[in-house]
Amino acid sequence: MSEASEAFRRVLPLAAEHHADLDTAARLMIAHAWVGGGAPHFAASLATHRGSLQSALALALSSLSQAAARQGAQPPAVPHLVTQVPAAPPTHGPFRGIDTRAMSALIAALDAAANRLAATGHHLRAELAALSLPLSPAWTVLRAAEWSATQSPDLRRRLSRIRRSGRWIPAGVAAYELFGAHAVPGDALLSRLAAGDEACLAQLLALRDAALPARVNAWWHRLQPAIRRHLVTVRGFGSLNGLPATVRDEANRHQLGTEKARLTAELALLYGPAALASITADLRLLAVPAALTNQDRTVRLLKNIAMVERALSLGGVSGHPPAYLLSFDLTGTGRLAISWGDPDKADITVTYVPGLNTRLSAFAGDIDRARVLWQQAQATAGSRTIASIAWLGYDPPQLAGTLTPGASVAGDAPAQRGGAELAAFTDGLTAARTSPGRHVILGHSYGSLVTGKAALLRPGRLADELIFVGSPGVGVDRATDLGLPGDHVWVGEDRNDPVAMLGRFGRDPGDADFGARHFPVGRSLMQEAHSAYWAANSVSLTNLGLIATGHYEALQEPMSVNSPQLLMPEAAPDIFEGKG
Amino acid sequence: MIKDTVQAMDPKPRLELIPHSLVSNPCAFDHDGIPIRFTINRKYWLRDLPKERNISIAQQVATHWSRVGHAIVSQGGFKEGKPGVHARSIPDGFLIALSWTAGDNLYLAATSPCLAPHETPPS
Repeated sequence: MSEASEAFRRVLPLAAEHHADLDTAARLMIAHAWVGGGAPHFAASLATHRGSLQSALALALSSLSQAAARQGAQPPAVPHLVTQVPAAPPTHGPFRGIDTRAMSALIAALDAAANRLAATGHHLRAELAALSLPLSPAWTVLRAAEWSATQSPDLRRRLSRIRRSGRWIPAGVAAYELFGAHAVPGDALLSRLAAGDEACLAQLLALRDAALPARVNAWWHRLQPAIRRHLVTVRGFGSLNGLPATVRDEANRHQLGTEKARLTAELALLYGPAALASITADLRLLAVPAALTNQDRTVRLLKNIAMVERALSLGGVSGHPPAYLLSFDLTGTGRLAISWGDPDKADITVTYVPGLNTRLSAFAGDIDRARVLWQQAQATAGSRTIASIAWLGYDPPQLAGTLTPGASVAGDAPAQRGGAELAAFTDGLTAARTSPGRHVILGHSYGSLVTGKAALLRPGRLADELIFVGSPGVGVDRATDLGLPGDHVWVGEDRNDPVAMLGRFGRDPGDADFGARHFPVGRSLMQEAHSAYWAANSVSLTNLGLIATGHYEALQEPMSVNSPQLLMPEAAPDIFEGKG
Repeated sequence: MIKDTVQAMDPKPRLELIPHSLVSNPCAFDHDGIPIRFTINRKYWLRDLPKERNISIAQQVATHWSRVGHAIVSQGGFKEGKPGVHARSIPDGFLIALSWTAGDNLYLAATSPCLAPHETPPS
């Protein structure tokens, strides 16, 4: 047998034993779906080395086989030594932390690979050199060994630093801490903002990168106190997704106070003698008095501020939890997000996405719905804590009146934009958490379409449960298209709710074929039906509380409308089953 | 109405008021976002009840409400040991409910119809 044939016989088992040396590490990266931060960069490098390792071994065997042929021997067959690792990450809820055991396993896998591949690379180099064959496959294997050897100490050091800090960290934030600062679009802007360049904030607020909120959270925790104290006074800072809820609240309340003072001072001027002179002058010219228009605007804004303050005043009072102002902006159609209870810490967070409101002042009702839902969910949840958020973070389409069947209604473009805003807001909630938890989103009317759009942008990662009430459609034809199992998508439709019957934006989610679970909401008078889902003590509100807390077995079922009003249990004893 | 219901129960629970239920719930807002109509609520934990009697208690409540003429609106969870019943009182239209919560605690609640501040509840 030729020299090359013998070398082939020695290298073959080497290749067979070592071609999958980086597979464990690759599988761990995919299984735990670490996203954000440097994780994609790290995963890409790992994939590159894994692939080149397998190609290099195949190339070496091929080279030896051809050498054998040149020496007159039968060229041995080169086996197919390529493995696949699964591509699709498993779905998982958004409020999860890192799995430090999996991280340790990754580090151990890299250590093992480094040792094994170093030895393999040296053997391979020797075999190829002895036959004067090109050494590049051996260098490739040695580079993979060297890369693995340099990664693991860095990861180990970072992991132990995370463990020492004692803080529970959401998975996305951990990805930044673990995999180093892989540059994302916001990095430079955050640095400059911390250095005092306030114009960067507007650019940051406009970014829609899914990894940004996690970066913001990691960035915030590293800032000096003096810088933090200054940043909460910068206008708009409280809307930056990823900041802790207490920070957003502080910044937004500061802004609320500043705006109130500014507008009040403006009002004093607008009703002063100069204003009167200006009005008189305009009227003489038959012009619309500018001062009156300004008065209207200022009065409207002050009324809205009063509405927000009134809503917040129940926070911490009469058994209510503290209220957190997570978002506040009076410009345009307005932005408002208020959480009853701390969403960073609560065991269960429910985000309510309302339908169409053409006035900011109409949000008062929505904030109250979130409050009432907090009460119901908290009573039902026992010792688990609840945060209930009213999220008014998108520009609704402008309509003259309510949605009526057959009327010309807005398309879904506002919902598309709203979905991007909701996805970013949810990324922020996820990034700011300090413990694992459960996220539920409740979409009402057009808000259910916004929720559906957001779900498509974050498959499997938007929420653990979706609830739609009074929905005209959510933009997909099947519940599972939303990235959740069908039994975690709920639909409540009052049979007198005309909006729920529209089915205009995709299949009516109340259809059996949509594949969602139905929960009973009772039946209201037609003029109330679209809004009655939150009525205190109602079947609907009770069921919302039960679904939010995961107690599906206790759902209330309405009695059939055909049964006599005066139900005598003796006449239908089977209704009240159970242990006596 | 709550006290009347409790009278019909055996064993009788101790009522513990849930503080947030004292806040009147707005049910209508004006153009400026100011609440103009409210429901009045009361919610009480039913304390000192043995948890294994929950289903029996819920059945007693449902039976009592039916007997005095209220309309049972919904029920659920009896089979799973998490019983709840809702009713609408006749003739004054209050929503009354007995509900199960985590920890196998029950509460009893009553909510008035949507009223303007100067109106008093019918009964």
